[in-house]
Amino acid sequence: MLENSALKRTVLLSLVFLLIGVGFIGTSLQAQDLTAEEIVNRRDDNEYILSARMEAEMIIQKGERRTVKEMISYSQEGNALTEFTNPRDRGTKYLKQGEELWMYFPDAEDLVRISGHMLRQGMMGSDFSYQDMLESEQLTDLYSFERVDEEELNGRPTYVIEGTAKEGKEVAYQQRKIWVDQERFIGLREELYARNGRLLKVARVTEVEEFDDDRWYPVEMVMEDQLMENSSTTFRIQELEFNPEIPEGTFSLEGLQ
Amino acid sequence: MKRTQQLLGLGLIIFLAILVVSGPAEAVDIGGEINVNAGLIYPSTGDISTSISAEAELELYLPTSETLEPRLVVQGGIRNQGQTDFSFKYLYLRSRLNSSHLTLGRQPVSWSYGAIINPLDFGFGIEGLADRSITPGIDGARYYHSLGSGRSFQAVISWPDLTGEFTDLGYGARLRLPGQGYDFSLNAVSQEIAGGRRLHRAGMTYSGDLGPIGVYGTAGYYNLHESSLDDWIIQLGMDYSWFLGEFDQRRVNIQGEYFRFIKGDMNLGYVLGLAGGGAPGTQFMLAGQDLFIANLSTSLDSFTNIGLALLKESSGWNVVAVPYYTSDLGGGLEFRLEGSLYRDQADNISTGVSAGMIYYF
Repeated sequence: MLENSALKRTVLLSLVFLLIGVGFIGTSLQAQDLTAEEIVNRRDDNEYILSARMEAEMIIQKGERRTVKEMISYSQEGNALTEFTNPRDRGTKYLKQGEELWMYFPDAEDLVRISGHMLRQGMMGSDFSYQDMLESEQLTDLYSFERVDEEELNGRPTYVIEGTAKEGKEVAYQQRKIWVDQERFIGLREELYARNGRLLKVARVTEVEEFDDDRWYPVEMVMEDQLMENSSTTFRIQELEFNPEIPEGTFSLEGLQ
Repeated sequence: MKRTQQLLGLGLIIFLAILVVSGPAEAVDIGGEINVNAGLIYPSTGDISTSISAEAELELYLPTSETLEPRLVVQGGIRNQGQTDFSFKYLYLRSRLNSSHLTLGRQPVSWSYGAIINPLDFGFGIEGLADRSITPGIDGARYYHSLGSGRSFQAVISWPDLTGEFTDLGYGARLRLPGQGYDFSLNAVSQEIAGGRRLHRAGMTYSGDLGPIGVYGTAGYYNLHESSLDDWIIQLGMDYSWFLGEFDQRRVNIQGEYFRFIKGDMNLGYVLGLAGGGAPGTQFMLAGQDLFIANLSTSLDSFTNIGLALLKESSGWNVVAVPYYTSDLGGGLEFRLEGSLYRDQADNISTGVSAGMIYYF
């Protein structure tokens, strides 16, 4: 079961492990003629980056209660390393090697392999599961999409796309509704629904930034859990560098010991 | 004791001197935690007792270079009537060279594979029992060598007492051979235990997946030096999780493991106290032929967890139950409420409750 993966795969995971990124290819194509699947694929195709370094924070909030997780992440060709830097979790690291995930405990200075069902657990108490970090399936493999509308959202023209889970595919959300920026191909808003049609979660991109290579990237987004009152998680990227120099051995078990 | 203190003092001076001469000074960061705890214990004898303590752990994040890594963590506390204690939790220098490193001083040595209790660890640590972990610090030298592809070899020499005899030294080695979807190790340890006796342990550990279930285990051999006392050990463990709630919004986790001395000639009491790593309040449970441990937990929300830890011997029907509740209050503050219930084979029941606040900085 791909618990909690859909929203996070497309939006939030990108900020945790930089498995995906959002790129701006250009608007020379006849965007108006794009089908729903083409729009989603344009977004998906843009959302893979070969290599990056990021400093970010994750703010988990419920009512007045608030906790902050800070992290530094590196990613390169399917491998990723995230180190938490906030006091509670300082020195805790997650290493993703292909489909394998390892966790480094700073107090014991030891590595433990994260296995099976554990991958669906929330990472560091957040709403983002380990599996979200490993998930790499294309949205179009899991859902059938159709264009339902065009709307202006926060001053940006968007395509409104609805996706329904394909028969036999195990997904956490039966339906999803995505607002995709017509020029930048960034998902600006996403609604995730249960099988009975109930709205479970809403993700909103609240800030995007243009990088040197004309690449637009969401640098702040908020996910709101609709089942829990006043509950939200905010991801905020503080520093992002594409194609950085990453020291050899960064993504090896040896590098953590 | 005085001699030990002198040697520790000398060691610290050398440690600091090496740091100063090894490179340009950089900013030193400080982090740690402060833990204030109060408890009530109601034993089967009926005499209620209380305990109050405040403990602190402070780590200086010292500058490192490509070849030299220092680590300095101190800990101390005030208990009940004002008794104080202070110690170095970790104090070491690590020298790196290509695919290997050598660590000298008081350091953590953990040979984890996901079990709550690892009977083939170098010390005696606890992992994730009632949301707590204990890693003992070892005074010694550890050599790590990478064999490539995640595989590694470690060798450890420990000295329980700085003024002890050569024959007191402990030795251990671990060959770790992880592969796709599993982690496998071969461990061997020889250490002094209480009473001046030497315990030899050797065996293998494994962790992997069996469908949606995480499985792990140990098989090994214990031998008491210069005696006819020996035994085979086996440990089988699993962990699993599932969802509850109308929208599968609540995850429940369970981990259980069973440990047994096959012949029944030895017990876990032989490894208790190795480097001070025994779990407080559970020592009395670890002297039987076998031990079953289970840990059940769930998150109420992003900030709050509840759980129940159970320890049980089959031989004496001794049972320990530890319900616990933890809550992240934000701002680096965490609240913990914990109960305990112990029933022995004579049906005597002792209970306790404790509450504490931890501040991380």
